Amino acid sequence: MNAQKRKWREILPILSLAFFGLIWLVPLFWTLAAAFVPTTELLNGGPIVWLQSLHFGAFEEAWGVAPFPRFYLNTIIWVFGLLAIQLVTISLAGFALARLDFRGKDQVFFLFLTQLMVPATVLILPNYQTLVALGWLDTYQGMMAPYIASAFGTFLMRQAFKQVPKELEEAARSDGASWLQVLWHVFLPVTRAPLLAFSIVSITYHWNEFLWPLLITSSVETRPLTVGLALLVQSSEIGAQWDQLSAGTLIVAVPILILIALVQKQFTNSFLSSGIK
Amino acid sequence: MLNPLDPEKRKSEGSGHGSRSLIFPLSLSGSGAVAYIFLLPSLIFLTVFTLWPIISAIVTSFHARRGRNQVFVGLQNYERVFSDPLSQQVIQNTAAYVTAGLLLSVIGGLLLAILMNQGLRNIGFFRFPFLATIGLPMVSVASIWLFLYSPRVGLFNEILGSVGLPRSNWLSDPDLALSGLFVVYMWKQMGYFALFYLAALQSLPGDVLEAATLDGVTFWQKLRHIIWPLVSPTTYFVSTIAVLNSLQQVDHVFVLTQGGPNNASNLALFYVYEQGFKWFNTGVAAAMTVVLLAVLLTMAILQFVYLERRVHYE
Repeated sequence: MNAQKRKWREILPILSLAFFGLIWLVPLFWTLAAAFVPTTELLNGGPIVWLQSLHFGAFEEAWGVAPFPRFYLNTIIWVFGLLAIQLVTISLAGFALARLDFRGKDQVFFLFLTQLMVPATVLILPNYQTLVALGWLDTYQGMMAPYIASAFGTFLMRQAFKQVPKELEEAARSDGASWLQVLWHVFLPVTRAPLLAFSIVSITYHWNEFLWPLLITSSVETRPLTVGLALLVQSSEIGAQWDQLSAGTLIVAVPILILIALVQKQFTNSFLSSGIK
Repeated sequence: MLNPLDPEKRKSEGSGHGSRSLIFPLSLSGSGAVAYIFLLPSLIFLTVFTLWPIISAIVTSFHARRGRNQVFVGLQNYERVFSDPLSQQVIQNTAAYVTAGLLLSVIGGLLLAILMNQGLRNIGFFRFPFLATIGLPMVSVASIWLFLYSPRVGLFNEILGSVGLPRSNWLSDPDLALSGLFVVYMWKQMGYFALFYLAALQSLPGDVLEAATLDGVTFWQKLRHIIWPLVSPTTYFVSTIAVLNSLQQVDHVFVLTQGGPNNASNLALFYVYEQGFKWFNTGVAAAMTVVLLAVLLTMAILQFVYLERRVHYE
């Protein structure tokens, strides 16, 4: 095989990856352009016209049309509030399954497996009825409830806790530490990586969640960003304020894009570990 | 990779305590009590928001509303789900969507992963586009594509128009609407499936692929006879999550088509939403929910059987 052919073999895959990558980015670039350039100029002008007509007005308008600051606050409360609760529940449950001996372990294990098999999205109807019965409609705890127990997180932590050497645990136990103290002082400090992995998946998943919050929430005080954006899209579809919509889209998506860019490697690994979800 | 269904692991855990008692007695001393205190929050929420809704959906699916009351109607809701033209179309749409999703996730995911698996130092930069879309909210993605598909000012029609081809009404064309949704979904999720193949490729011994390249084997031969058999466990895994994933897609239906035109792009979960929350046919919505649950259960059983077999024969 001659050298030139070998060179092609090396360059061709990289070129095709770059090519597909560019194509993949077109919708994002187009949205970015549409948010900063008025629609008429976007369609009729070239790059030079676009640069000349850059403006930030669409963001101000979008910010004014829908109460995005409040939606931001709601999303942050529900996503991070949920994460805080989940970190407690998955650590406790993961520890019990990994390190404690108790009767009925198989049955408990099976209950967790059921959640892995049946994603909450499928159960919107009966879970909505439960929230009605509990009086939790239009509340943060209502949005959080189906996700407070997390089989994915519990199994992830169980796996991690199993790797911790038995001697560490025994030393702490013989010093008279309670199981809670063992968990807090011995196990959690050495399992930060899986906790972080779970956090990334949980934040991304719930930041992006739509249908469940749409059904549960009915007021500005609880609606998250995704629901706010969808309502903005629906209300303006006919009059099509595309620059406003694009700005709104970016307002919702940018924090997640920044998160991915910052922790790309960690993000990749977290999503690999999420597997069945 | 997380693999809680692994029967071998479960067996080794089950012995010891499982043999002592098959019923569910709470031992109130020693680590048993502590274990249940630790598990309590999870168990409460699993029971109320995973176990109970399954039972409740099954019960509701045998009832219908008559005035203010729920009355038992036997299998009527299921008859409707399987014989009504609308729900038949929904089932067909969903089957087509899930099948296409399965095929493209496997083929596209593997090819993309092969491209991503270049021994280049700054490869992360080239991977970013495919990772970024995974993390974006589907609602944002759908809004982006709503603009691209727009008949009057959308990018696709601009491109078609500029080369003199007829413009199209992408999402309001019954023949194109479902495919339109599917493209959006694949644009967002392709990278997700590629990630699993990428991990599989990187765990292969490097010299296997190198040797094949040096012997002058074509790319197709290498793919067919070396890569494909070696990544087959990943293919199984990707197939499972691809089906689970595409069954759950509903946000883009909501933003882009509302199931239209004339239900051409209506999918099972959107049907549940419409029946349950728009028309208040909770019985019918529950019946469709149970059908979805049955599909999920079948998949779980298939996966369990597959893993069991692997443990035995490998």
